[in-house]
Amino acid sequence: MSALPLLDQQPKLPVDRGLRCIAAYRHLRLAILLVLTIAGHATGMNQFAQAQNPTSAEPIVGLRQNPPQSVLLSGATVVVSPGHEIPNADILVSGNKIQAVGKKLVAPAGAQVIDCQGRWIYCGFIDAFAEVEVEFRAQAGYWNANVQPERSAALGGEGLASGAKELRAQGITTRLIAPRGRIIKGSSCVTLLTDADAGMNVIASEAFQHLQLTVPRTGSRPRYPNSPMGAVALVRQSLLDAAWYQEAWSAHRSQPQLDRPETNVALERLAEFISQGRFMIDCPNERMAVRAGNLADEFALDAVLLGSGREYRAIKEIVASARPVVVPVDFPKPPNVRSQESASNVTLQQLMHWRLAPENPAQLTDSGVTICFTTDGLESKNQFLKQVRVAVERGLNPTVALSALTSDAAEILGIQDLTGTISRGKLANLVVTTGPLFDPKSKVQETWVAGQRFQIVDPSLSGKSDLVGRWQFDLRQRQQSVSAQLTIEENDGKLSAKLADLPMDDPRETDDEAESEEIDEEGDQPKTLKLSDIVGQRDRLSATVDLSKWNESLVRGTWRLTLLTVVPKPGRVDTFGTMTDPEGQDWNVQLSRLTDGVVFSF
Amino acid sequence: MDAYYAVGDAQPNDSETENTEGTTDGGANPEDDSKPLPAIVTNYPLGAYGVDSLPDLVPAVLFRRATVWTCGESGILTDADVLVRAGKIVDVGAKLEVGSDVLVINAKGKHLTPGLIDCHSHMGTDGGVNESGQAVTAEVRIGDFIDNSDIEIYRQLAGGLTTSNILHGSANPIGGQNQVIKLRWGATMDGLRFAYAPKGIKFALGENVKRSTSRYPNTRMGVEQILSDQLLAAREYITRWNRWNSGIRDALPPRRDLQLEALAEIQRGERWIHCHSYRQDEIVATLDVLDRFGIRIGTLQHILEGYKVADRIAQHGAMASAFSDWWAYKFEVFDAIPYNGVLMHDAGIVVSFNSDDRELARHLNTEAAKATKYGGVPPEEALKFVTLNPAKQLRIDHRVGSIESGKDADLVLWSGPPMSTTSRCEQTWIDGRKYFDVQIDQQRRQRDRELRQRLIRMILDGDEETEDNSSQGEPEEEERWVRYDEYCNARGGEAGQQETNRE
Repeated sequence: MSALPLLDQQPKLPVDRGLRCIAAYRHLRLAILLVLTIAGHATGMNQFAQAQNPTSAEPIVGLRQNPPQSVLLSGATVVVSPGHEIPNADILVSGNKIQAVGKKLVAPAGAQVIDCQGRWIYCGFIDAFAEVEVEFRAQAGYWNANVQPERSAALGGEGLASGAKELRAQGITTRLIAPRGRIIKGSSCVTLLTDADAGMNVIASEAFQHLQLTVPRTGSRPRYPNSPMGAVALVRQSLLDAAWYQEAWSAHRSQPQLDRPETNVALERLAEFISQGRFMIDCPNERMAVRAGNLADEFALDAVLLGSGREYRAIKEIVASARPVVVPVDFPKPPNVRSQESASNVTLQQLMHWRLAPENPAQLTDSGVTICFTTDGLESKNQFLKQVRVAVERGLNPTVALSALTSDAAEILGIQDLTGTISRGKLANLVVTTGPLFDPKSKVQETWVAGQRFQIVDPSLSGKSDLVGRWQFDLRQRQQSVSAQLTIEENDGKLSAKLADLPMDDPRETDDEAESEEIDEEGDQPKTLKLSDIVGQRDRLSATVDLSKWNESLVRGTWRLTLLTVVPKPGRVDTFGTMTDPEGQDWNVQLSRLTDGVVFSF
Repeated sequence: MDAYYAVGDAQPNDSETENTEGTTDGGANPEDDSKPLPAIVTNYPLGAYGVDSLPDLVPAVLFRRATVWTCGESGILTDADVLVRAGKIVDVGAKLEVGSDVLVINAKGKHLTPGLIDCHSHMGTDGGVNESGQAVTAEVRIGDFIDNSDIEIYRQLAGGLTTSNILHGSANPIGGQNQVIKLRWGATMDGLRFAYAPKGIKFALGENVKRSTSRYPNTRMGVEQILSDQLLAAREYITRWNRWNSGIRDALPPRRDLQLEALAEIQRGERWIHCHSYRQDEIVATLDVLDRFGIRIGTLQHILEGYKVADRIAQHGAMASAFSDWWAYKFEVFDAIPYNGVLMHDAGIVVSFNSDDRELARHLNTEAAKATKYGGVPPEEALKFVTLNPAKQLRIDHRVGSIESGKDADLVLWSGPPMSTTSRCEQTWIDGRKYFDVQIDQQRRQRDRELRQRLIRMILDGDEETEDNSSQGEPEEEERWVRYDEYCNARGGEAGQQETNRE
C-alpha cells in the first residue's frame, strides 16, 4: 500500500514537459535508432499522473496511470561492472534510466523504496543472437534470392518479443534478433525484453548484417547455389558487386552520358554495411569459423563470429582471427552408451565432445578471445543460466563470464552507451538475485528492463497465494473470542479453506485426523468446517462460512472473512483480517502461521 | 624413431594440468584418487587418431640401404641411401657418409618410393563436391572447403598417399576450382594446401553435364557450344578490363566477375583444366575448341576411350589421368578396356591412374601394378603412373613425384616391393615429417580404445540424462554434404540413393 501522491504544489504545465519530450524525440535516420529518451524527469519533482506518455507518442487512453517516477533499490550488493562490486549500495532508478548508484542514496520524495538487503544486483544480461522470420523483399533487389541484405528484423521481424518472460526469468533484458534464412540474410536489431511494443523495445536497428557460408536449411531453395562452396562464391561475388555498384553510380553521376546502371536496393544496403557497418557470420562448426574469419579478412569486414560451441577444435586459428565470438551454451548430453549396441554407434569424437564442449567458453577466453553468450540452440531457454554456470564450473573465469553476459556483450553489440554496466545514465536493466550469480543456489528474483520491474516467480511456487498453509486463527470481538486452525490449500489454482481444532501436542497427528474425518457440518461438534465462496487473489482472500456451526453461541448466518497479506521482505508474510458477522459487526482476525508444531507470531 | 605418443605416456601438457584438472575430472574414477588419470584434452582433429601437434620436422634423416624407386633418371637403386635435410631430399646414392646429427633409419630389405599422388579425388572437402545450380560455376572453389578432419586423409596416408588433387564434381561443363593438398594429418585447413601447385579447374563432358533437363546444355553439341561461348565471354572480359586499366573511360567501370576471371586465367595460362571425359567424339570436340583458343589442357580425366584417339591427344599435348580398370557403370563407358593406360602411354602421353574414390585411394600402388599386369608396362614405369606422372599433370613435378635431390622429402617406406599386394606401407613422410608410422598407428589405436572406455565409464558413473538415440536432431553442417561426386555414376547404388535423398 503506497501513500497517495502529494499534490501540495502546483504542477508544472504539462505542455512544458511535453515539448521537452518532443525535442528529445528526434528521429535518427540510419545506423542506431534510439527510441528511448531521457524522461525529462528530475528527482524531487512533484508527482502527478502523467499528462502524456513521456517516452512515447502513443496517446493515453482511459484513466491515466500514476506510477512512481523514481525507485530506490536499497541495501544490495551491487555489481556495477564485472569485478567491481559495492556492498550495501543503492540504485536510484528514474524513468527508464539509472539515475544514481552508490552508498546511502537519499530517496527523492515520492520515490518507491525497495529493500534489497541480502540481494545481489547485476546489470541485465544480453542474449546476443536469436532469429525471427522476416517477410520482406525489395523489388529492385539482387538477382539471386539468397542475397537479401535489405531485409531488416526491426522493420519486418515477426514476434520480436516472443519468449520475453522466459528470458527475463534468466536475467536477460536485451536481445539481438536477426532475420532467419537466406545466405546474405539482412540486418538484425537489438531489443529490450519488456512487454511493450517494438517501438519502445528496439534500441538499435541494423546492428549487424548477417551472413551464412552455406545453403539455408529452411525456406525455398533456389537452384543456385545448392552447395556451401556455391554459397561462399555467391557471398564473394555480392560483396564485389556492392563495391562495383557504388563505382558505377559515381561514374554515371560524373559522366551522365554513360549508360545508367540498375537501381539495386540490395547492393546499396550491402555497400553501406561494407563501408561503415558490421557483419555477423554464422559458423555452424569450427571450420566455418575459420572460413568466416578468412572471408572477413579478404574483404576487410568488421565481423563477429556466431559460434557453434566447437571453436575449441580449431582454437589457434580462431584466436588468430582476433574476432569476437558469440558462444552458445547448448552443451551436449552424454551420448547413449547404456548398452553395448548403442555404445558401438558412438564415436570417440562424440564422447570427447561431450566431455570438452563445456570447456569451450573457457578455452576461448583463456586464449584472449572476447565472447558473449546466446541462448540459441538451447532446447529450453530456462537452461541458460544453469549452462553458463556449467561453463564457469568447467574453467570459465566468473568475472569473464559476467562480462560475457553484460559489458563485453554490450560492446560486441555496439550498445555499450545504453547498457552493459550499472552506471548513471544507462538503461535501468537490472537483475536481482538471491546470492552471488554463479552460486548454483542463487535465484533470479527480479529482472528490471528499462526501469520496468518484472518479479520472477519461482515456477514451483507459481500463482500460489502467500496465504497457503496452516494458520492459528483467532477471532475476537470485545470479550468473545474463537480460536481454531485455518488450513488454506491450493490445488490446480483453486483455493480451499477449512477450520479445524487447534493442534494439541503433535500438529501432524491432528492434521491427519482432520483429513481423515473430513467435513461434517451436520454433526454436533464438527471437527472441521469448510469455508465457501472463496475468492483468492495473490495477496487477498475472501470467503464465507456459518460460524454457528463451529460454535453454537455465535450468530447463525453468513460470516464474511477478508484476509490481506503484505510481504515486506521475502520469506515474511504479514496478514490483516476482518470477519463480518451476519449482523454486520466486524470482528478482528489474527493469523499466525503454524509450522510443524512451532507457532510463529508476526 | 622414437614413438611420439606412447601408450600411457604423459601427454605434453599433462604435468601442468594434472593438479588442477584432476579435481574437476567429474566421474572419472572417483574411488581411485591415488592414480589421477591424465586430463582429457583436445586433439587435432578431434577424436580417433587425432594428434596433439604436428610430427616434428626431423632436421636430418638418412634412409639406409633401401631399394629406392627414384621414379627419376636413376631408375631403381638397390642398397641405396637417401638423405633428407630440412624437409628436402639432398642426396641419393650408395653408402652416404653422414655425421652424428643425422637420424638413421635402417631400411635394409625395404623399398622406398616417392609419396603417391592421386590426380582425381573428392575427399577432404565438406563443401558439397558439386555446385550443380548452374552450367558454369568457375567461381566456386574447393579450396574454400578443405576438411582437415576427414579421416580419409589419415587412411590414405596409411596407403602411402602424400598428395591429392581435390576436384569439383562433374555436374557442369565448367565446374569449380580444384585444390591440390598434401596429406598433413593434424594440420590446419590452410596447412593442407600444396602451396606451390598452380591453379586448376574442373571441366566435364557427356552424360553428367547434359542430363539436367532444366538448363542448357542437354546435348554433347551444346556442351561444346557453351565451352566456346564462355571462353569468348572471358576474352571480352579481358578486353574490357584492359581498356579500363589503360585509362579509357568511355563506359561504366567493369564489374569484377569471379566466374569470368577464372576463365580469363585459363586463357592466360594461369589455370589448368582437368576435364572429365569419356567418349572419343567429345574428347576431340573439346580439344578442337581449346586449340581454337590456343589453350593447352591440363589433364583429361577418366578418358576411358582415350586409346581410340591417343594420337589426337598426343598432338594437343594433353596428359591423361585414367582409371586402371573401372568401367561399364554407365552407357558412355561401355567401350573402356584395361589396356587403355598402356596404349596411351605407348603413344607418348603422360598417363596416371587415379582413384576418384576414397577406398581406392588407399592402395594406388596396386592400381599402378595393373599397368604391368594388363599391358606389360615395366614396373619402374608403372609406378610413375601414381608418382611422377600425376605430378607432371598437376604441374608440381618440380617439387614432388620422384626421389631426386632438391625435391620435397615426400617418401614412403614399404615392407617389400611397392606394387605387390603383400607389401604394406610402414612409414609415410611429407616434407621431412613422419605423418604415418605403422607402429605409432597401433599405439594410437590402443590410446583411443582406453580413452573411449574411460569416457564411457564417466557417462555410466554420472547421473546426467543421456542423449535419446531415437530422436535424431538436425544433421551437423558437415553431415549435410556428400563427399563424393554424386553425378558420377561410377558409385552406382550409393549415388542413386543420394539422389533420392536430395529433393
